[in-house]
Amino acid sequence: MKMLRAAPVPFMALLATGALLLSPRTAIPGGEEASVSSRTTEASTNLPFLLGPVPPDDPSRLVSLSPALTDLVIELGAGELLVGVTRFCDSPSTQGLPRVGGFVDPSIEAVLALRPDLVVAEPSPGNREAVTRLAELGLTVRVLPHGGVAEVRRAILVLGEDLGRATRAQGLLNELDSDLEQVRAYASAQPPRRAALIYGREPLVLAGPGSFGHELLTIAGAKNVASGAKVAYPTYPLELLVAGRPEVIVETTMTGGRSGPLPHLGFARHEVIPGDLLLRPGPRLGESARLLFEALYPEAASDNDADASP
Amino acid sequence: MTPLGGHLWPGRRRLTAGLWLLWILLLSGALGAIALLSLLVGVQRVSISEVLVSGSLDHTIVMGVRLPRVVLGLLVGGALGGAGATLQAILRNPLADPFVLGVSGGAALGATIVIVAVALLGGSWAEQIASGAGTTAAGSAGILAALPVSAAAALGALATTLLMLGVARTGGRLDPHSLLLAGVVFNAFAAALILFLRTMVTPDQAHALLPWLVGSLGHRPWPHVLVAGVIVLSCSLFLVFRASRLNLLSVGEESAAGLGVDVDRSRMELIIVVSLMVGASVSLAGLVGFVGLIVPHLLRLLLGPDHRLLLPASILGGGTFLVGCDLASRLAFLSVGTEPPVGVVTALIGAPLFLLLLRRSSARGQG
Repeated sequence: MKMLRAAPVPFMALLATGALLLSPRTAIPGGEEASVSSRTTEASTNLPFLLGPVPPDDPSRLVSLSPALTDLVIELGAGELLVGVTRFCDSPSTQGLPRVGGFVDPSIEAVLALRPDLVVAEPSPGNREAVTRLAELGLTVRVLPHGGVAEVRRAILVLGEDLGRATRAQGLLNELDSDLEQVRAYASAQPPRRAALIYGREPLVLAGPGSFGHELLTIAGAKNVASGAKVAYPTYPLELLVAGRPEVIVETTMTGGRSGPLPHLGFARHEVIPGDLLLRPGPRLGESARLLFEALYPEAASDNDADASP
Repeated sequence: MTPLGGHLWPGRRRLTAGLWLLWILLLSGALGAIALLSLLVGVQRVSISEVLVSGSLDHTIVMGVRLPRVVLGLLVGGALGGAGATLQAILRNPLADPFVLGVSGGAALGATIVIVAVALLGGSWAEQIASGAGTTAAGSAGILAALPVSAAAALGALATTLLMLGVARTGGRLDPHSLLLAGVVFNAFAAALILFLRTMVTPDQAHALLPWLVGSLGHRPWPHVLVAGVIVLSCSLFLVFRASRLNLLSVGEESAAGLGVDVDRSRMELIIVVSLMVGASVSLAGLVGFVGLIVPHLLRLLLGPDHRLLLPASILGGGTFLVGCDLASRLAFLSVGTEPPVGVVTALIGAPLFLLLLRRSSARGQG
C-alpha cells in the first residue's frame, strides 16, 4: 500500500519535465509552416487569409495577437490604431496598452471587450481554436503567416492594404528587397562558408531546413551544416555538429550566446548576435541578413563598409 | 485495511430517500451557483441587464465565451468525478482514479498520435485555408479535425484499460493492486511516448500540445462538445443506475460473489463504461488530474460510502470543482496576465488536499 501511495509522483514529474523541456523552444516565434522542408518554396508558401466579417475600409481599433505583427503595424506607421497587444509585445510605443494574453493563449473576453474592428494574428496550431472563436463571435480577423521572407513580404503588403497604409508598405517592401539584394550580392562574391545557427543549447537545437534561420543563412552566403536535418528545428547531436566542421557558429544573446563558445567546437569562430533579430521575422529582416553576413564574413564586411564610405 | 472507511458520522449509515434528495438538491444548488458565478464573473465586467440584450457585447461575452467553457467544465468534471468514484469502488482502493490507472494516459496517447499525424500530414492552417477547407469563419476543418481526436482518445482509453485488465488478471482473478501498479507504469510509458512524438513536430505544434497535456478548458467547437457530451451523460446515467451494484463490489469480491454478483463481468462492464467516459473527457480537455481522486474522496467523508448517493454526488461535485477551478484560472488573468491551464489549478488545490486527507486517515489508522 505504501508503494502504491507513492506511485503517482513519477508521472507528474514526467509531465513537469515535458513542460521544462519544451519551454526553451517556445522562445522561437513563427516558423509554424515549416514542418516539411518543401513548404519553404515561394509557390507553396502560406497565404494570408481573413476570418469573420468583411473588414472596414479604414480600421480604427486594432488588436494584435502577435509580437511580430505588432512591430509590423508600428513600422507601417499605424501604431496609434492599436488598442490591445500581447504580453510579449515589447515595443516602447505599446507601453500602457491593454494586454490580451499571449501568442497562443489570447483571452477571448479581453479581446472582445476592447471592441476592435480588426484583429491581426499569426496562424499557429496553438491559437487556432481561440482565433476561430473570435471570428465566430463577430470579429474580423486578418491572419498573416509570418515565418519567412516570402511570408513577411506578403504580410507587409496585405496589412498595408488593410490599414490604408499601402504606400508606406510599398516603401518598406522596397527597402527590404534592396537590403536583401545587397546582402545576396555581397554573399555571391564570397565562397560559401559552413555555418550553424544555434537556437538553444540544452537541448542543442539548430536551424534546420524550413526554418527562418536556415533561410537567413542561405541568403547571407552560408552553407548550413544542419541542412540535412529532417525537421525545421531539430534537436541535434553535438557530435554531428562537430563532424559537420562548421567554420562559424552563430548564436543570439537570447539563446545562450552569452555563455561563450560551445564545447568541442574550438575550431569554429563563435559569433553572437544581440537581441531577437535572427529569431523573429519582420520588416527588418534585411537588417538581420546583413548582421548575419557580417558575422559570417567580417573581413568582407569591413571591405564593403570601406567601399561604401567615400 | 479499510480503504473506503472514514465516514464523518459513522453512526448514520442508513440512506433514506429524503436524505438522498436533500443532498442531491444541495449539491445541484452548489453546482448551479458556481456555474452562474462563472457566467457572471470574469476578466471583463458585465451587467446583467446588458447580458439579456441579444447582440450586445456583454451578451456575446457571457453566451459566446463563458457559457461554452462552463458547459465544458461541467461535462469534464462530472465525467472525471463519476469515473473516480466508480473506479475507487470496484478496485476497493481510494487511490484509483482515471489519471492514476493509466486510462487518461492511454486516452492522451491516442489523441496525441492523431494530433501529430494531422500536423505532419495535414499541412498548416493557412495551407488548409488556401486549399479551400474551412474557408468560413466556423472553420469546418476544425470540427473535422476534432472528431478523429475524440475517437482516438476514447479508443486509447479503452485499449489501455483492456491491456491493464489483461496484465492484472491472474488465474481468472483481477488483482486491484496489480491494476494500480500497471496503470502507474503505463502512465510513465505513455508520457514518454507522448514526449517522443512531440519532438517530431515543430516547436509551435509541440507548444500547442502542452496546455492539453496539462489539462485545459479551451474553445472546443460545439459539435465536438455535443458528441462528447452525449457520451458522458449516457455513461453517467448508466453508472448511477448501477450504483447498488457498486455498493456490493466495494464490500469485497467474496461477499459480492456470495450475494450473487458476477464480479468479473460487472467490473469489466463498469470499467469499459468508465473508459468511454474518460476518453470523451480527455478529448475535450486533455489530462485534467485530481478531480477523479479528490472529489469522491471528500464526498465520501461527507456523505458516507453508499454509492447510490456517492456516485451522483461525485458527478455533480466533479463538475462544481472543475468549473470552480476554471473560474480561478480565468481570474488569475487579472494578476498574472495569462490563464494558467485548469489542470494546473486542480493539481495545486487537489494535491495538498489529498495529502491532508492521507495524513488524517493514516493518523486515525494508528490511533
